[in-house]
Amino acid sequence: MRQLRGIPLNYRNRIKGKISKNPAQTKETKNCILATASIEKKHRGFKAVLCSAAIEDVKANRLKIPIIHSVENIEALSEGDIVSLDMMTGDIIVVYEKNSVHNSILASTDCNCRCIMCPQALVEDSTENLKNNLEIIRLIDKRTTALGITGGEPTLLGDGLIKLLKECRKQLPETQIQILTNGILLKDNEYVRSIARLRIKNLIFCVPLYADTNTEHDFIMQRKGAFDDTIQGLYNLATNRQLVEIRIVVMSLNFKRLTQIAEFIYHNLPFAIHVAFMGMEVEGVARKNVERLWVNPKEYSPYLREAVFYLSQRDMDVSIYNEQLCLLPKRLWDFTCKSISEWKNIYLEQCLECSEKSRCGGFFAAPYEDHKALIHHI
Amino acid sequence: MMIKRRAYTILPYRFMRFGKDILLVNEAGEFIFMSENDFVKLRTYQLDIKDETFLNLKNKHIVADTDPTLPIYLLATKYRTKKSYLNDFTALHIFIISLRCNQKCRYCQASSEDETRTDYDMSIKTAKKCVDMVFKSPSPNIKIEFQGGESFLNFETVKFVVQYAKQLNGAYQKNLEFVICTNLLGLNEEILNYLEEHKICVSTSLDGPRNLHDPNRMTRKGTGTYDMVRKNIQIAQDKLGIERVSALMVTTRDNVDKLNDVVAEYINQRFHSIFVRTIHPFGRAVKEKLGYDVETFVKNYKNTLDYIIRLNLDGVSFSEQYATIILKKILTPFATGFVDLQSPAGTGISCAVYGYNGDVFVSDEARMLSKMGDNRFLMGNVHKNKYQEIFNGKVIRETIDNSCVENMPLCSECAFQMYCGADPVRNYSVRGDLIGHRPTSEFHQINYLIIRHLMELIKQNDADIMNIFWSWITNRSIEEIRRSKRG
Repeated sequence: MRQLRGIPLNYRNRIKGKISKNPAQTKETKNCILATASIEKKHRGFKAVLCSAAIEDVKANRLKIPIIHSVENIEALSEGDIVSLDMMTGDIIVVYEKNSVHNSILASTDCNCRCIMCPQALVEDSTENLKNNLEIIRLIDKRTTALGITGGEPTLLGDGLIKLLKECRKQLPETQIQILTNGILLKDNEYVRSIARLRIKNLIFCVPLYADTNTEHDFIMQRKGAFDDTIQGLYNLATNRQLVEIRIVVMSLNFKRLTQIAEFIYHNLPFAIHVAFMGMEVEGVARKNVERLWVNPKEYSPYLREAVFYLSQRDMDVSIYNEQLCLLPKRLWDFTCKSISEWKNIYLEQCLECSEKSRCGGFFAAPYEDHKALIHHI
Repeated sequence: MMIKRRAYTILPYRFMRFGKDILLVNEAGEFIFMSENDFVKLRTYQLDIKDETFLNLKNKHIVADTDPTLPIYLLATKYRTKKSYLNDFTALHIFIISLRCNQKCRYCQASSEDETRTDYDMSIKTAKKCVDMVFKSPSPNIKIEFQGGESFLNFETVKFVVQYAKQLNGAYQKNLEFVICTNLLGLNEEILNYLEEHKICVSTSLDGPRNLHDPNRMTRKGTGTYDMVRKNIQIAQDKLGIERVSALMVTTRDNVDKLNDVVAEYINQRFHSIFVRTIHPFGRAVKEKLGYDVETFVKNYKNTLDYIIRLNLDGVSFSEQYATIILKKILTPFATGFVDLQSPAGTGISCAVYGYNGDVFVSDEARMLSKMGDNRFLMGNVHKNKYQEIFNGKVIRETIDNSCVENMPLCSECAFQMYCGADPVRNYSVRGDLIGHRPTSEFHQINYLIIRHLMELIKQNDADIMNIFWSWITNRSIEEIRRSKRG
């Protein structure tokens, strides 16, 4: 998530609120956090104030509200963003960006798998999250088109996930909700049924599948039985008429069998409404394992091409995420989309003179060195 | 004695030789080709479970090196999906609206009567009983097809059926469709408006260009019908829309080696597909000796399929429907709605035929047998019998019991089993029993050879041809397939 930093004053606990940049037009000031150039007396009604200017303690103390000053790059915040302020450190974490289509709720930082290409560093305790997340959902702009529910593994929340979804249904009836889950706990049909009973329109389950056979998938997930459980989970979703997207992260361990994976999906999971092949995000666990997971996109693109056309020929909706156009055959360009969240989406120096930059998905914040070396402008 | 533990178990499959390779097909119809060498290794448990061949077989659930619960569950689900045409029971209901006809086609299997014989019309009273019977079917999809004779000759009954079925459907809320089979000779403004108003599809007959059409399809006075049909197809297409008008052809001794001309004629007349149908050994066709041997038909069928493929390569979107049905069975996990190639057969359970007098048959061929004096497949009569007696009686049960290729001699071990079906009525009419005799059955030979031919083409895996096949299966133009991303 996007993060800013400044110097905190007046308060020591965490604060959450919606960004306002226009004090004159803000109605519910007590729920809002003002982002401004310099602070004024009339800002007193706000929940907190963020300002770019540096201010002296004495002057600010008179306002008696939480302040973070000397905030760099404050213009990166937009009206309607939701931020979480750490008043001990001065960290400003943007938990929801109004102008992004990639917003998500971090439902749980824990996971029941240890995927060897996981881009996250897992934290096993995540008890504080539910209340926070319910609060965030209440603050989110009602016109939000899509909201992800990610983790870790969101289904580890059990009934907590159902509470989250109920809140989404209530607060964001028009928003598409995407649950990113490994599907293992969805093998419990009663659980799936209790989610289906919520009758949330626009709910979609995005489930990863890394191989067409169990042993190979289980190895990548680092969990025995993961494949069988996930497939059962997918069947439970289908029989309860839930929408499913299948995601395949491409890596050294599976790139030669992408077409066989596509074949498995077409024959066993034809109910999937979308299939996405995804470039690896080299962060967290993946960075540790990068040497054995890495494969040059140019090496896998013929396999990717075959798999993508296998599915599109069969009238299945298929996309490619997290890939750069200069490393893909031109016939695959139409399948790519800008899939990387704005805050960590970057382009390299060589991209600046590229004629296709506006169409290209670019990179995750910290691309792998070997990967960078391959990039060239078009 | 030491018992050697095997590295994997082998799940059920069927196989067939293709030159040097072996075709393996699993219980759900998914297939894989492998070399004879690998096949021997598979059989003798010598495949390496890390090997790509092993993984490909595992993907198709032909082998399992771990607990086979999931593969068996997946196979069962896919088998059910392939057989899902059974879920809803009878959907297609054919009404013989009149036996009268204004044509006297050489191959007529419909046992038509002279135009003046109104006693062969389906009466309103009978039609009402038939519609009542149709709506007893549990199927959520109901298609009523009007056949004859010539159905326009008793259009009053057609109108009654449409109006009464729609009235009943107010309560049933099924997906109700109508198709009218007609030679189009009697098309007029009033009929056309009616077809448009009630969204009734037209299925007509066209055997090819004039020189192929006219000798087979003439009026009772003996004059050709080509000009009239051609004109009226155009009128119907313009009024109802190209997609609402289709045509059928019959392959006879006269056009079997000129199928490309028939295809060209279909394209000229703005049709997007053709169904190259074989002649049925019933009615006048037998007397007139219009048949041909299996080899002749298959040779010409392959030839015309090749011609159609080349047309597609040149940018003409045009398909052959029988190939499309079989390709769908081979290449997709879905069921096909085609009633004549199923196991169990679609007789009675997918399709039923209501004769002009209210007799209910398992198929149109069954009705022809009856006309020749054999009531073997007469399920009952709407005036005399209840729904249960007709659709849960001895005739339908026997017919279905004896039409499962899964347990028919030769079929039971055939690798093409999941792509094929049974025709108990034809078996009975040729051999006198429902099971039939595969080595001498033309139905079997033709299907075997066509399926094998399509399988050869799939094995060759030519990118252009596969794109064409998928354009037929998914009903999209070849440009759409090539254009990549779904719009």
